[in-house]
Amino acid sequence: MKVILEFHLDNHLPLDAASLLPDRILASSKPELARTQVNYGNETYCLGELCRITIEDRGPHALIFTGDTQNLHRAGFGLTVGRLEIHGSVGSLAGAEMTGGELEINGDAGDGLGVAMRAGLIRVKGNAGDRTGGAYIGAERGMTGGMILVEGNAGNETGEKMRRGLVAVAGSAGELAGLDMLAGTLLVGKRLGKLAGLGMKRGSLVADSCPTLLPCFSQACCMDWVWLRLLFYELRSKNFPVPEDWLNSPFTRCTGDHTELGRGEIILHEL
Amino acid sequence: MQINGVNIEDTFAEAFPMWMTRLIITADSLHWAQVAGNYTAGLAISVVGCSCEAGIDTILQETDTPDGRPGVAVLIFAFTHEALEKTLLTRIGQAVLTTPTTACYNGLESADRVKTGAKVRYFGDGYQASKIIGSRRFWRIPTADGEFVVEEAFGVAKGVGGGNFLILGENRLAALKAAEAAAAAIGTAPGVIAPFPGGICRSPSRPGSRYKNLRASTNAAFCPTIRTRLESKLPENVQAAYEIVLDGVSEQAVDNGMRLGILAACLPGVIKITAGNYGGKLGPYHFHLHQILKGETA
Repeated sequence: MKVILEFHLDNHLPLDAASLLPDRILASSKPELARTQVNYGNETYCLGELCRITIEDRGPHALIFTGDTQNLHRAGFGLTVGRLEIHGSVGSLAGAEMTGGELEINGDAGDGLGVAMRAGLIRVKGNAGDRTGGAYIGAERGMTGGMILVEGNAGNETGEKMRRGLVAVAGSAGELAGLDMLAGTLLVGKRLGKLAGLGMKRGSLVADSCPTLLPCFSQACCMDWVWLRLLFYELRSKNFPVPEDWLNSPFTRCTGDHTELGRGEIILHEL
Repeated sequence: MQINGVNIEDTFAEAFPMWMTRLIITADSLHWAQVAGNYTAGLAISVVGCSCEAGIDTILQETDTPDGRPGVAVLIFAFTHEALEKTLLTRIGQAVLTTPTTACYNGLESADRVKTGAKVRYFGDGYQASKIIGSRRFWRIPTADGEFVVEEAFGVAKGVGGGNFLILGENRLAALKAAEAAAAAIGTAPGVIAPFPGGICRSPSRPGSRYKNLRASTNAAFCPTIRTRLESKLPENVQAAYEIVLDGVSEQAVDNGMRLGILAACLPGVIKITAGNYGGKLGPYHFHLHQILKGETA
């Protein structure tokens, strides 16, 4: 069964999509859905006023957002179970505080993708904004579990204060990737931006290259890492594009941030 | 019943439940994976005198292992859950961790798991690190050639131990050749091992002994040199016998291993194939030779 919400939002006001979760929506009738209250700008509307609702009985269970989706914020917020597909780009805080289920964004995601996420899977076909897998501003911890796969680039502070889980970015990451990282894994298929790993205590940044490695990181050794093989095969099983030449290549390990615990690592394909 | 002129006795092998686990050991080359597998299964021949029974189940190609390197699957069997957990820690810590380039993964999906990798990690002396990949947690323990990666938990389940058959030959050479063929055939069967040296046991045993401190003693009825002193189970024209013992992940795996082994052992010079049992009093699994070989007569 699929429920398709085709949004027709004629201005740039934000729509808070946090209440539109698959388990609730798929359990509702069409009239109930049409009466569902959502916050749009500073007013409350019935969902039926903002989108066309289509219910298809065929196919796997999924909730689909389509149409004018770029101003949907907090899509998949707190998702626990089920599948939410967004056919287009989406606003900020998509998948924040997820504890399960699957969120697929067939476009770009705004800032705060998967902030404070605890479990589940987020897949973004396009680019992701700042603080992907990171923490709310002022919070002690970012993502504590789950997996975020971004097939494009990611913005600044990707994986900020990340505690556990995996963020994989097929393209490049902006500045301050892994900022104050506590643990977990951030993989970047291309380049890490400036100040990567600043303040990281534990955890792993894996990337093709890092043109400006901080001086508080020290080169340890270069080798074929078994755990990276496990990671690469896991990502490939999720249809994430891992470069072919990574599978049997040595990677160089740099430990740091030595102004912190120094138990983190930046592992680079090309140093 | 006869197969290739070899008499198959209408009897059954008696087997019993054992706790088991399955390890996947990988390395940079198959050679080192096999070295680790063989040492892991070292002196794990019979629970009569060892803490467990173990052996390499199968060779794994790169496509069949979690890290894309060649490997082996090792089966380990013990009588109790606790004994299995204890010996697993010893064997991974002593044999797998120490072998160049190896990694060790759980090879048995089971709700019942023992956290052996979580204990092995302490060898890292505080420098170890964990990684959760997918739903599995791994430990990275620094070593002088890089890192030893070990999965945190290993599945354990009830398997079947003590499947067996005996090959009775007109002379030692014929019996041994047949036993070698049987062991090789069992080596191709999935989910089953023959834990004795080379897969062959030259000293079938029976529970108990006239000496009170011994748990088992020689099965005199199959020893040709003393056939004149007791009620021998060896026909007059039999000069030597070998036993094949099998442990498997399931009744079906042992059944299949026995079938393949017996068929391979039906060679010239083999007089009879029989099996060891204790009248049905030892274990709940009874492998009747004629049922196993149904449709195979020639």
